[in-house]
Amino acid sequence: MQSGAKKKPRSSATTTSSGAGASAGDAAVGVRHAWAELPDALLVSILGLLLSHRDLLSFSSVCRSWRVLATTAAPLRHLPPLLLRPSHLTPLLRRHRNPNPTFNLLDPSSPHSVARSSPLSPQTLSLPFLGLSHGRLILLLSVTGAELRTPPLPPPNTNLHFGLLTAPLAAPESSLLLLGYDSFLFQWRPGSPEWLRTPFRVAPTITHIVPFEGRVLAMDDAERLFVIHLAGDADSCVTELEVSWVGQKIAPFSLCRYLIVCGSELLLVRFVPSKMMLHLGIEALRLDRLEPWRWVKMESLGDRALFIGENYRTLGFSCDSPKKWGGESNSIYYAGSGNQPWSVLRLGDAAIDLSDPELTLIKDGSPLSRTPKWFYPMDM
Amino acid sequence: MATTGASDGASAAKKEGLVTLMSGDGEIFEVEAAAVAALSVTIRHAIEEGFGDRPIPLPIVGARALALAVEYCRKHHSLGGGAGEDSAAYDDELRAFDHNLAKVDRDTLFDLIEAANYLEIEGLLNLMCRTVAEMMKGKSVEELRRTFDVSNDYTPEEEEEVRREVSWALD
Repeated sequence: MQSGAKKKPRSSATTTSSGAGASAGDAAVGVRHAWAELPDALLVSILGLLLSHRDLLSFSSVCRSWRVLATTAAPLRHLPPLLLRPSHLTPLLRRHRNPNPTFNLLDPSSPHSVARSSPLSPQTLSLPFLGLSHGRLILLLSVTGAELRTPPLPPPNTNLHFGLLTAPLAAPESSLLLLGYDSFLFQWRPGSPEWLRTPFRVAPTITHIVPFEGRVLAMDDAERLFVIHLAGDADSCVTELEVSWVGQKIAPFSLCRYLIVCGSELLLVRFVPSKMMLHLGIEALRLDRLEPWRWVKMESLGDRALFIGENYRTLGFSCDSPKKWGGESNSIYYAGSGNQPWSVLRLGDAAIDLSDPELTLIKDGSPLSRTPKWFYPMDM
Repeated sequence: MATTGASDGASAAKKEGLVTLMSGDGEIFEVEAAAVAALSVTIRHAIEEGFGDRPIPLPIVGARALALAVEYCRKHHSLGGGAGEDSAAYDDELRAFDHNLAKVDRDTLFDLIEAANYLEIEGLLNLMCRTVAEMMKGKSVEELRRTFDVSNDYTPEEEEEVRREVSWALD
């Protein structure tokens, strides 16, 4: 159509991945219709106005080029994540009769809609839960979504506690990472015949792994930051990053922490002791990546909402301009095991009243399968 | 005061404050320079670059879309940014105008989006994007394909895969 136009103000700002066999310009794809050929940037603007996950998923299923667009366009994080919440948390008498957990799905952008049961089978749900990333539920023995067959894990493979996809499965850089309590990492690239098992050789224990700006970062119990070299040699797959702390010492102990990617920023959110009895504070720090790297405390989260849960090993998310879907900016949506699926918290000392039964904090000991989890349903 | 629509005389005597636009299909429009330059970045730049008496060529914008886009500029230029006692009434009138413009048929909508994008008329582009998003809301995949005439280029296997990838979370 207008390829000869001399000027396309909002021409392709997104890159369509060419490796996935689904590039927008694929000529072998039959008749191209004009709507499918609107400039990407216009389609992205339109996507940004779709305020439900269902509409986004429908859009992404229409044709190859729209799918590539929907899964690569960063602005899609204008919707809050969904909450996968074990239904045993709801106060039903019969909850104790069912040994297999079932889950409800809740959507903060339509809080009045009825929680729906997730169609996961009891068989699937009985598998140990390791993580939920890029729309994929990672269970020991299984990665759902369209089920992904991985080679068998080499022994010893017990004691796994965390799983993560570093990128959407279709992306060439995608790796599935499984983290063990004994400081080792399993990594597998889709299509590869075997797992790579790498010892970490860092004490204390790595508790968080997060893909960030093309790298995979990790944090340990002592809030040290590391970069994990996925393709590196097996003896040196972890390097500590020098990060200083601005305006404060490291909290003597932070009780629970989250690494959250917000676009090009990395945030550290943590619960810290409060000056007030029986209260906790929440603070957020931003990684300032001007050399030398520093953690800088934030006074406000700005026009965004963060989503975290009571088990800090679940992924946290950020959503811009939450007022668009009726959410609150400068807020933290905390999913606990109380009667309410989430509580809305704000930064500051004494932000959390520990006597509040809704705020069930820090249950690292409880199995992930029994805790609520935020997630985005699309492989993006 | 408006000099609406097409005229055949590209070389017609130039009136004060008018600029000549030529649509991709060769129609000539003489319109108030101030109105279109205020809202269209592309035309403003063309005027600044000194097209003078020559018509400004707008190769990908068809006459029908150009007429509507010009009408949009004219309306928003004369009523938009109004202050004082009339501004509320102007706002209502503009809203009604936009509302009507958004009722165009699907093909015109497509042409208008492209025109607004090419002419860099931000308000019109946003209006059209909102209109398309409204059309998409609540539609199934099949309904979207029908509404926007997009062909399904998946193989049956791929389509099944796409469906399964999301169904565990959303069915």
